Amino acid sequence: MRSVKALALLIVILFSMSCSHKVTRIEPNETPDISGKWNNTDSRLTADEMIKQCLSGGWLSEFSDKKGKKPVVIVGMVSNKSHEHIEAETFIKDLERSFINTSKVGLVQSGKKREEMRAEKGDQQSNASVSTMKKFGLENGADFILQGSINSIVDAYKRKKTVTYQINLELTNIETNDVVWIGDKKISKFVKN
Amino acid sequence: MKKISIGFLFLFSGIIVKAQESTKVPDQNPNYKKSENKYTKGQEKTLQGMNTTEQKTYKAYDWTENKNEKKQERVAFRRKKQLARINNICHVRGCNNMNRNHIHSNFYRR
Repeated sequence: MRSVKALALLIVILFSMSCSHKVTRIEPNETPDISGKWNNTDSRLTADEMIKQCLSGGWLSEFSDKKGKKPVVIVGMVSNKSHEHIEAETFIKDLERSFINTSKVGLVQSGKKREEMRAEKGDQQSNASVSTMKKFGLENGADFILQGSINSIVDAYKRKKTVTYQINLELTNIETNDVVWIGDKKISKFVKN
Repeated sequence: MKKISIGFLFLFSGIIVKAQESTKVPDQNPNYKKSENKYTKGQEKTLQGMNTTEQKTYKAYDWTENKNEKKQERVAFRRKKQLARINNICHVRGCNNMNRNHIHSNFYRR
């Protein structure tokens, strides 16, 4: 009888343990690889590499010497042509932040945020006081546009798989169409299911 | 006479300004206006895509995922088949009528 009770208790404990939902906080730079898909670590590695390559590139000093001012960059579109859903904003934002923090590169707003900003300016024309109203036509024009692409190569056989991601970012002179910098980061993974 | 001369002055100044505009930068393509007109109108859609990620993903072959998909397909097919079989039986034997007879029959009411 005692052994039956012990067994029942053990089953209850095991059942409760299997059903328990546990959440543990981890450092963002210590994200473990779980499925082998694109994760936070990949995004961080890409951002680090791109920041390093972009801010040490010859285009920066060349432009500053020629024009006597820091270059202004606008962020364009990034095409994800890989096999996974990847949001480029995670590493693009890190790059943008480095532009601002180092004060080496100027940054202007683009896309929907710029539309929103202009809409606000338009609203101010009829609602804000004259002394605080912001004028149209005084935005900073960008010298360069940042565009990019994400590609992947998958090689799989039975339970083994290798995935290689190639992330490229390009800076193009808006006036002359010259590509002045291409950043490159390759990440390869071996996944065994 | 004074009015006419002022009119001419405005006209000439307009022409001078226009001429200056067209020769703003040396070595600029003289047909640049064509391109400028083309790309200054109706670019809202292109510009909205800025600062975003365009998702053009493809489906890569994955052995385990493929296996799981096939398994799911088999399960769904089997479920469909079972449902179809049940419907057929009812159609042949008249399940609904049978049940209705069971419920409403005088035999059970008695």
